[in-house]
Amino acid sequence: MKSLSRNLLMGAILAALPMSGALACTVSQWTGAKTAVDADAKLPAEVGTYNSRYSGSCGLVLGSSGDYVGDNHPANDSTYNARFYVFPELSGGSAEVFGAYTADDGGGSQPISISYGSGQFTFNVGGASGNVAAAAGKWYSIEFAYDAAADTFSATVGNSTFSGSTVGVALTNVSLSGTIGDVAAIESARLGWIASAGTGRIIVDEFESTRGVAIGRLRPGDANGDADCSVADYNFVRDDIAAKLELFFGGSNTTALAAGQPDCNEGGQTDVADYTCLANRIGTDLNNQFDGIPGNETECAEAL
Amino acid sequence: MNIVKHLLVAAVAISLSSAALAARDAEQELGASLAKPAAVADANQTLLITVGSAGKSQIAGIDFQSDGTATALQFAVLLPKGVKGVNADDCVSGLPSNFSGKCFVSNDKSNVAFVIYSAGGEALPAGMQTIGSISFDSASKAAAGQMKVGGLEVVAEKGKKLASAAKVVGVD
Repeated sequence: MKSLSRNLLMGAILAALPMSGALACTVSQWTGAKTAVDADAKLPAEVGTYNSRYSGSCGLVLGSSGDYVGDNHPANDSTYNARFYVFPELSGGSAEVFGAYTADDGGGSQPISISYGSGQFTFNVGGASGNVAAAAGKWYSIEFAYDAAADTFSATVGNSTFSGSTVGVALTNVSLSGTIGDVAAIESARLGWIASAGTGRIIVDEFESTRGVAIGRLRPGDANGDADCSVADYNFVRDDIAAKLELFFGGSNTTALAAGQPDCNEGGQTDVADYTCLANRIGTDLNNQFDGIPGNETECAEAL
Repeated sequence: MNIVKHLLVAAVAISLSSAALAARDAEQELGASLAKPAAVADANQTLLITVGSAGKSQIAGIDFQSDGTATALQFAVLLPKGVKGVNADDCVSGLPSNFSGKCFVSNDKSNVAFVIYSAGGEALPAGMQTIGSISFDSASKAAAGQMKVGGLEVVAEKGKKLASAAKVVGVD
């Protein structure tokens, strides 16, 4: 089935920036002003218990404030959508994880700021703000739509609700429509641990942006990256566990990391719990595909 | 004999005889869904649903014929319309100990989804392998003719998809 995130109008895509290159983890594809370096982009085994990435091989792991990557693709965009994944691992303080600005390289004013701290994401847009509760130690998708001319901003924070025999996604919305009071168009964006002091780490991954087109979540459990949850993904979940262990213990790395999203339950690491999670997602998809109820089909147990 | 025990006996009987029934099936056309698909002849992986009645219930034995390369499979058993109750307690009870399986009854009782895999990447043994059985409340003698299999996908190591086919046969 089609992946929503791959169903974008090509002309609307601003940026889809990974934390890896052909051979290694790197931030080289982020061409805006940045303070993060290639060494901040890491493989899963380089960060201990947790995976450093949500999808693909590498994610950006930041241990202190003032480390970020920058994107200058926006060009006076009055409509600006972005989606990224963040793994907040803070035991105290807060971290600004995303910012959008009215000039290149973080210059001008800052219409959009997204921070994490005290168990919640905080969205500051223009003069308005909103919060979404989110426990630390999980992967969250954050997607927002900003329309400077219409003076609207809406965001959705998503995380797997895998538990026992059920699985799905909890999507929490925050809308600041009509209260922003800032009509500035976007010229650049930053992602990472941009500002604010805290204790712990911030991991970010899978940033995409568009001009007014919804992006959507990647499919959790789609370990082989074919935009579909099926039994074919089991091999890749298993290999991802093996590959991380090989890397972690310093042996020869003969097994490839999963190219997709093996952390089915979005708990922060690929492990045997993801087998059960994947079964639940596949079973849910099959039930919904054949139940004769029009319009309730799912992929990886999430709405199409 | 209580109904539960009767169903269990029926399930065993169906499961044990499913290989023989497969041969008989070629001569026993029980409805459109039983017409032998062309793929059956070519596929080395065949899912076999054998349906029989036990009082007012129907019981479906689920077996899988493989060539010894299948490491995981998924499918949905589409039940006849109007089913109100499904018992899936034994849906994967026949799997080898190195395999895991779960089944999921849809909310409207229209289908039962199966997901079967080996966490260690082992393959199911070659030959006929019992997966388990389900039962549902339908007094129709033609239940098998109203049943189908959907979404069958069988994979080998490295996630390689294998050619596969499914058959539903009745024993009444």
